[in-house]
Amino acid sequence: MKKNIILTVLVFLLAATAVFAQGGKEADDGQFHINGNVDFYVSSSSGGGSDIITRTITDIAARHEFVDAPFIVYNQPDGNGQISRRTVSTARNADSTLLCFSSGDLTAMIQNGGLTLDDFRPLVILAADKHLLFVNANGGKYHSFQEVLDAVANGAKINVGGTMSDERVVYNMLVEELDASGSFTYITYGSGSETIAALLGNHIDIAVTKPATANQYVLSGDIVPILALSTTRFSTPFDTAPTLSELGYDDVEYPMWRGILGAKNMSDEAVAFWADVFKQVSETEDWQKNYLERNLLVSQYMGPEEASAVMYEAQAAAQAQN
Amino acid sequence: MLRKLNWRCIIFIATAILGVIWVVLGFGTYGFWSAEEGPGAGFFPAIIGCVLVFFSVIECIRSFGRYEVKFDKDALFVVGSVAFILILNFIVGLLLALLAYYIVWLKCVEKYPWKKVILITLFYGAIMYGIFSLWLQVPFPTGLLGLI
Amino acid sequence: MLETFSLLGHGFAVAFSLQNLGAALFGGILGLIVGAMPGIGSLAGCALLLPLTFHFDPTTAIIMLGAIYYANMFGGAFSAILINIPGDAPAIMTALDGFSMTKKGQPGKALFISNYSSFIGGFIGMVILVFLGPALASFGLNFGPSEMTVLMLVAMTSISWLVGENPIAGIIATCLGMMISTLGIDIVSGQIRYNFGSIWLLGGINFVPLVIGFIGMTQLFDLVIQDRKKEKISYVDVKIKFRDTLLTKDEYKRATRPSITAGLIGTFIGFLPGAGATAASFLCYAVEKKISDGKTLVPLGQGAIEGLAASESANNAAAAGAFGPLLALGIPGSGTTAVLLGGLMMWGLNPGPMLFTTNPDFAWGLIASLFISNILSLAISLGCIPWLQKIVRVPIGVMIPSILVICFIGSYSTSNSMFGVVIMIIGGFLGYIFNKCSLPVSPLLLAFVLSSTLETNLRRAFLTSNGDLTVFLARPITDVFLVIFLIMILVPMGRAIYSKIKKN
Repeated sequence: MKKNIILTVLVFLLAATAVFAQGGKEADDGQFHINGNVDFYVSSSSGGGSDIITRTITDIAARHEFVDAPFIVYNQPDGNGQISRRTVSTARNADSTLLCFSSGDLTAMIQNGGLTLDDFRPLVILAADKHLLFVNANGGKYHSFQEVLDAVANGAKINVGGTMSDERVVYNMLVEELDASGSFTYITYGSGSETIAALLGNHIDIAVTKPATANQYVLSGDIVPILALSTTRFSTPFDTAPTLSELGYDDVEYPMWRGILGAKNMSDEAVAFWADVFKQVSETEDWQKNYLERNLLVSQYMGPEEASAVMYEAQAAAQAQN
Repeated sequence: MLRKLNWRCIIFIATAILGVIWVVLGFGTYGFWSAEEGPGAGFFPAIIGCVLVFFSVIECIRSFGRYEVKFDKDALFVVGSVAFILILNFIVGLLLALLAYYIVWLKCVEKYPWKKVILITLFYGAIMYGIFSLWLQVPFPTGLLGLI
Repeated sequence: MLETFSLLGHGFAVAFSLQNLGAALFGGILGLIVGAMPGIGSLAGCALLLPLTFHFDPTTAIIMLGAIYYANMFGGAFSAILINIPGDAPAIMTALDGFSMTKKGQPGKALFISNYSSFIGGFIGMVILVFLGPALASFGLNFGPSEMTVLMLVAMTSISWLVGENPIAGIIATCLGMMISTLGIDIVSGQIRYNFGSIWLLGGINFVPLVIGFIGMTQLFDLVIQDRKKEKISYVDVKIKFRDTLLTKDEYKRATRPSITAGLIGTFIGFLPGAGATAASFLCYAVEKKISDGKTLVPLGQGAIEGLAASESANNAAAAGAFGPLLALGIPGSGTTAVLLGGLMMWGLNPGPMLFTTNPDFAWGLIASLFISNILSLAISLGCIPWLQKIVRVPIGVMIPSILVICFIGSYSTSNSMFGVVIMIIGGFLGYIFNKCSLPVSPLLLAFVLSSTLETNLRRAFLTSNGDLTVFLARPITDVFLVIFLIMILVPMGRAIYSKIKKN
């Protein structure tokens, strides 16, 4: 029987090699070429925000033939995303391994420990956004940020809700600036819409979230923006919210961005190549219409150097809190 | 004394130890209760750990010498199958490892004639490859040889 | 009322074009196939099939999306019933009675009841959605942390029915399940806990590989051992006539009443943000156990029609109910509805408080398409029964490698990594040892599913109230559920004590 097993395996291996061993290397003509497939990693499961932006990008890049190799998207949410980040960081196929990366991922990466931006090559940032504070218009305790500040002065306890990643970071920055850590309690929710649901049900006093999540509810008059966590005011319908500096404090902000990282050993030619590909993607009408407009974002293309600066700044802020 | 120790007891000793680990880490490292914020990250697990330790000890004593747990030798066929797939997975990738497993199981364990083995393997192989790999685009590991 | 009817009628008019019906049929078939694959399930299934809808115009696309979503819910029960591998969490309850029926040689009947109850549950959910959707969705917002905590406690009482003859072993299994759910990052504080230095454990354990291991792979041991001993296995390699799958009048009666009860409760739970189909099927199962106690032919969990009907009806009703908060408030109640929300947004449709005023055509078209999908899914899956039940005619020698292969592929494709496979294997071996030591496995799995919601909400409740325990008493909804919880626990205890006294 043993003999039988070994024999079958051998036959099988041989057959498999004969059938599937194919392909070869392309000629080197000095220009940058991709060998094989492009592995695009997403550190969350299918259907989430990172997955949607990745599939939109790969779809556009393939349709406009910006890249002549097929993209393979890997959704690997294991280990809170840390597994796919580690895989990309140490990828053998460094020139064609990419990672969808947002400020939320960055916060998670720092919290998890073990990896920093030094383990990657920052490629681009494609979209950016900032946060606001919202209160419930019907039956909420507070109606403006000045009221919140007065309540803090009177020793009230205020519950603030938001997600675990970037919203928590900007909340901590705000509390530090107000020097009122004893007055606020932060309640984490799984997603922006969960936070809004809690706010609508008056289970929290204030929600920290992004304009795209809150837009509908602001338009319908259910919730009201009371503070812009930015250096300037937002556009309508969020323009009624003042910035912190208007209220006599220093502005705090922790921009929320979505970008792409490359593997640590990616060559300079590859970095330039990918930066160019994604620049082309960000200039298509598809991208403007199907991604940015839908998510209430403005085009924010940043090349490798600029993106790197923004990412490292965010990393410093996240590390300071960890 | 030792003869009375059966698998059931060992399981409950193991769960009791796990419970102790959960309680120690929950109380000590992760924070059980803070005056400002109420329950911490260790609150819930530590309580569960306490309950587990309590009942594990009771059940362990109760089942001492009262049960006889016997494992069937044929269960090793499952262990062997899993080991076979895992090892082959490292070399030729998951899909081919599973196909090879079909062949080996049907031929060597079930003693099917070759023709039947090949037909069944091809049939299931086509379903696996067609649905999961081609249609649903599940990126299966390719192994050291990097075939499919 | 009249206005609702005319709007819905308009929705049907939109949906009833040849192209739209074709798209719904196509989506239904694909959804059914993908939903039936263990490890793919409704969440990943919807996400994977979503891009298919991009080829059509918006209305057709949304109708197709509804069909995919709904057919996924139907398909989830198939693998649970036929090979005892629940594809997703709500299907655990389905597997309990469904697979027991398969073992008794009635796989076709089990499939038929599951489809029939799914249809009833879904239909009830949709009718409620049409008339009370927005109102119930707003009511659901009142469910804050303390309400959810108590609701989860009520759902947890369903565990006690699965404990078996040794309650202490049941409690131990429950605790183990809860402990596994605490692995990885704590969602409330963001703190890393119980990962023992491993980065794989940071994100905790995924449920699907765990259940595939503990249930699917564990049964493989028994199959192999019986096969080696050349024993005849009752439910493998048997011939079934189509006539045997049809229900008798009595069986219809047994399935209908639980389906309606579970449909009503399930819809309501579907409306609550963050509760979902799993809690619905567990709760309705517990309720059904209470209602039909002693009146069933066989006890629930051993192949009772009532149990299967309650579980399937509840999870489909909850799936329809989840559209309430999604359409009226823009709040997805589950991972799958979150994917749908993403899909709707792709079409420039922003579900939320404004939807019914700004886009009535879309909104009512989608609701109408749900009705159509429900009927189509029923028709397709009934049509599949003759083929599906052939699965149990596969000889044992082929069945064994096939189940193992499904376990591997299913657990791999949940997160596209071998980590899932490792979890599955550990779960399978542990499940075998547990079986040998007569330690029940189902309480472990149920506790695992429910306890993270319980813990998160319990701690949120303490956080929002600054550690004040009265938060569980001062709120009317919480009080109502606390009373239900106490009844669920005290009545069986009281009964047991009463019967002991009577004996003495």
